[in-house]
Amino acid sequence: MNATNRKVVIGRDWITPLLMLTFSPSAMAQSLAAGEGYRFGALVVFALLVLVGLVVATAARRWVRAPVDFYASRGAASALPGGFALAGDYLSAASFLGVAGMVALWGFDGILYALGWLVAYLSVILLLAEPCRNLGVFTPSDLLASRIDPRAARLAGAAVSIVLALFYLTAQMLAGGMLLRLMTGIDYEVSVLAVGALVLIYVLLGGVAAAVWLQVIKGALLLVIAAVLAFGASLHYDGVADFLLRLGDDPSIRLRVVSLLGEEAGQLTPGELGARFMAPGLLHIHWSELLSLSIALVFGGIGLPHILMRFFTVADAVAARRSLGWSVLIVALFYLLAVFLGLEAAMRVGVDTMLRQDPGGNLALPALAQALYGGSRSIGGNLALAVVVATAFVMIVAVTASLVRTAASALARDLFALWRPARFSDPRQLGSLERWAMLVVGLFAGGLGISAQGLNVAELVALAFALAAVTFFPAITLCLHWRLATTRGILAGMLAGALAALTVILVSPLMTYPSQVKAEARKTIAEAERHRAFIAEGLGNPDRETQERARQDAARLDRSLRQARFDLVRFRHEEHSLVGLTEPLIALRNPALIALPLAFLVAIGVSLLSVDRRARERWTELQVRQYLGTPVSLGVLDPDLEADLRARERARHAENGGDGEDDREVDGLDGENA
Amino acid sequence: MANDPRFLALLRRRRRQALAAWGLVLAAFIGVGIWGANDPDGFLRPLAAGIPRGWLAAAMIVGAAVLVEIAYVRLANRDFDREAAVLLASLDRSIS
Repeated sequence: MNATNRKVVIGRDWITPLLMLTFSPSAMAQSLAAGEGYRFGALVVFALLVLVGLVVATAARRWVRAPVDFYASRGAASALPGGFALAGDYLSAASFLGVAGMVALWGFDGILYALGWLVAYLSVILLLAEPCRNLGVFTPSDLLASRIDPRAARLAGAAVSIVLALFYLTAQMLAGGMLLRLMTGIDYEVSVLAVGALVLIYVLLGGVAAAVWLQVIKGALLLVIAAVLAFGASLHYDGVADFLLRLGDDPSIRLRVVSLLGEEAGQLTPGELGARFMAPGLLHIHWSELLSLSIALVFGGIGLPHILMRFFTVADAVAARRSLGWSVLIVALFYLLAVFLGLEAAMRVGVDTMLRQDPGGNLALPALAQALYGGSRSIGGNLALAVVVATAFVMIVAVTASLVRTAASALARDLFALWRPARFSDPRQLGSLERWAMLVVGLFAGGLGISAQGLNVAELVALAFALAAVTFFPAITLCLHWRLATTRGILAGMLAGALAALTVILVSPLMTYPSQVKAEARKTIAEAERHRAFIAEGLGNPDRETQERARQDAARLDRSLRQARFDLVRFRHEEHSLVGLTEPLIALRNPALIALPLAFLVAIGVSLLSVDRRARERWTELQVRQYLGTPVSLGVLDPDLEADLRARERARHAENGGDGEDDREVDGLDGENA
Repeated sequence: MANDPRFLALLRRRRRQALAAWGLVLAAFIGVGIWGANDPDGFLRPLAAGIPRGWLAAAMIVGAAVLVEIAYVRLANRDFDREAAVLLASLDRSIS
């Protein structure tokens, strides 16, 4: 790291300890001992930026005057803002942090996440965007309801959407908690709870429904931050080849490969060790794991509810297509920059330092921002850190709030209200139910966020993609492209996909295996003394950088020991996992490879065995509308069906007052992000 | 029923275009992953200016994704819109 020796203390002596004691006495005492006045300055900048960001995001609520502002837009009708709005919807700060971390920790295997999400975006655009736009539907549930029984479609769609939202919520809480811990030094668990409290306040202030322009700002901000960091990093290299050569020569990266490969690394030369980081196989060892991940990423995008709605952002089909072109360019550029920044973080920050900060690698990017602009003992470094963290944090809080609202809304309005329509017919009852649902979802998300410590955000999002891939993707594909699809078949396929995915996850390495955890804990305790000797050596070293590292090591060792003892107590009576296993049955970390074909087979099989007159009749209409986008008669419809279609079209036109706006609920429908 | 030959032909071509464009990028993406997992040495062998072959392939996927999308959006859709408009005009039975 480029640490400078200049030292500027920002803040009075009396206020720093006071503020620090408010959070965590031990962490703050360490901070004071290290003389980190910069940290306090960064904290102030961070707090101010978060405040400003949340106020702006809350004010954006006023931009939403009608549903059309939420789904479409009155302003962002031209191609470039439309492109940024689309990209802003798809990209998120959490996945930005997660992808950069995955690349920094796992080399090429991490890059697959970035590439996969780009290809997923293409899948959505080429296979789904136009049919959805032409059919006039906003979500997968709407799409399914246009073919099969609407009530069943909405119930199934809501159930899957809630689970998907919970996956995303966990990822967002994890990222938010990590960032808050980085800035304030408080414990991770407290950080997650603080994020939860902030989200609740934000929701109460009404800052949930985001206007299109907010997505435009979000997309642009993410791209600008990535570009500024990448520009700072690129000044150190003479082209791509020089960058790759220095990547291969980096000692931190070679050490990382040695730690991952173990004995196998003994057969490689130092040059080969560096090169190995740039080849696949460090995280996903078998080709089937790569295939499973690829399937989940590529097909999962098609099943994500939030991406479709923004295709209505622009005024007409021509502008929509131009926007799509822009959005693909923006998304591609963003992921390319994320890959470059991840690799740069592995070199400049060091893999070891990143792992010390967070085992999931989610803090690679903030650490890189600090290192690039002066290091931890400079104003520039801390300012860059504060700006990057605050921007990401605001986006995460806003997205988390909307996710809580979305999940609660789906739970209350779709599941309960459809399940017991008589009981929840009164809007006040429904509102009260929704508030309770929000609280339950919020608490549940907090618990999940705390339990997800140490995981990478990108991996969690990939699991959400896997669930979408094995439920919505087969259902949507068969609804749109198979004449014989029936309601029972579609529902059975979704259920089979979800159950298969759950089963695979329950026997995969993602679960906790107490006997393995205890073995690890005993190993950590046994090796603690040896580590302490190394740390004592570091603390006695005159070099300040070495001393600082040793102090961080000591803190990490204390945390590991605390965790190890806690694990030994927690699992003292347990040897088996939730489903009675002592070790994983399969190596797959992503269930898509098994669950997706099964979902298709079950959906096709049950469809062939069942009869659904409505689904059969809707087929022709759906074909016409999904490609031509207008309810015209082409001489291809049954006369009865055509008359029905005309009548419904007129009724819809009359309901909307002829202005084409859709009268759906606005609140809580902002999307989650990839 | 959907038996108008012009309409059916239009739909068939539409599906073919979308699947071909998307399948190309998908195959390249999955192919690069599996190739690298099976043959790390070949994957890393330098090709152009010291850049490993696998990395070049990965970069090409990104380029292909962007190009395919732009080509599809700009060309295929434009043709489709024109033909669909002609078809609709000839049938002249629009609801509005």
